[in-house]
Amino acid sequence: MDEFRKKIQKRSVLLRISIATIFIINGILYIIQKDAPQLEEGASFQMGVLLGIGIIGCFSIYRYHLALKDEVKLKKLYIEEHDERKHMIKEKMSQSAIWTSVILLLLVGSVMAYVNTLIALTLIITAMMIMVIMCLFKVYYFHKY
Amino acid sequence: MKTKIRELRKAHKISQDELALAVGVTRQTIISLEKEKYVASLVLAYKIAHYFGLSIEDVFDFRDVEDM
Repeated sequence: MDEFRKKIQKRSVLLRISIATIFIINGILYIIQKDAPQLEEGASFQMGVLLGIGIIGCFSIYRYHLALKDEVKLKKLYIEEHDERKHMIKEKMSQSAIWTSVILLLLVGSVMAYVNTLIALTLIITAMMIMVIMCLFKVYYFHKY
Repeated sequence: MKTKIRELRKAHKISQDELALAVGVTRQTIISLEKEKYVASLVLAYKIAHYFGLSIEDVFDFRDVEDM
């Protein structure tokens, strides 16, 4: 459990640094947006996304802070992160999501070929790239295990 | 896979939460094991059996696997 505690401490520090960076970037974006009104839309969107990430990060820091104070909560957090059923669900979910995305990309790409060749090619190449990446990971894991 | 986890837990008067915390999984995993929706890994099966002071075969029913 000591190792996990150190891991959580490290993660908490990294999150604090990331959130500080996010606020700095948001500040810079705010200044840019003020000086160049034509960039307002893009900058506002980026600021919103960064703020959202920052808020989620703050919640995680709070959670880690509580876990580091209480041994039972730390163990529950450890269990939550290392639960084998959750790992299995994540693996199955990733597999299904990837295959569904590839099939959808290929289907939409085939239909788009009648409308716009460029979009169709982009979609089909994306699907193929995903499949190539999957094959590379498969080879890597076959060698690893 | 059929298991005797529920019976053992009730015999030992242990809640799903307590068992989950002792063997290092979530309560949902214990529920899934009891409902026979999820098959435990070898490590988890060992931990559960060890917790009740039994062997893996005493807790998990391998008859279905033997037929395969």
